[in-house]
Amino acid sequence: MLVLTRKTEESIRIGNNIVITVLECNNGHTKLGINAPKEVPVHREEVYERIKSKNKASLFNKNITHEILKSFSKKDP
Amino acid sequence: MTTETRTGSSTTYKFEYGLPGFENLSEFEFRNLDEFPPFKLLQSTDMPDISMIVLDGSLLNVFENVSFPKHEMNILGLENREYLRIFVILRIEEETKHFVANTKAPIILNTYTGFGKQIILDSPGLSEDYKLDNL
Repeated sequence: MLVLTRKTEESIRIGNNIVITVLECNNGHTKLGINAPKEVPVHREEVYERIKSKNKASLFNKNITHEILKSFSKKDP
Repeated sequence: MTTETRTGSSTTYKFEYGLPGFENLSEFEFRNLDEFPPFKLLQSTDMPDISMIVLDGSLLNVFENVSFPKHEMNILGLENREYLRIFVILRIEEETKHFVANTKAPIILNTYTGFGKQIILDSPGLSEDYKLDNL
């Protein structure tokens, strides 16, 4: 991991077109401004990790899911 | 063009960013579960073992007043909701063995271009563990 120390209003550039700026630093909270092309996804890491983990927990298991689907699904009239 | 066209039966969508946890998988097919409507199977075309049960988000009445982030809509070329279709991924909750839906991270589709993406929403009232009581 690359570790850089920045003060408020200072920035980091990643690649050609991503810039992260420290906007505010207070009481253990840091506000970051992120300038990135719209096609580059930006997420809070813990949120992304949680979604990853829930997606993996959602993988289809025929044996378990089949019974639950049977009890849940309604047929079309 | 009807918004039902592409996901009416078995239809493939391109996911440029994959799905969180499966970032390397760029194409998924929505397959009908004929025995179990309205549920569908979202299956990777590259790795068919990677599949998940999904449900049309319009059946849950949680997305009507949700504002989808403009940058996410732009990535898929969606100017408005005309070609937008929403799906939620279902999971079986360990303790209760009930289905829960991830409404906080729905899959959005552009039914005209055939591109899709799983997005993460901040709107209040959405949940990673939305309990499916009735459909």
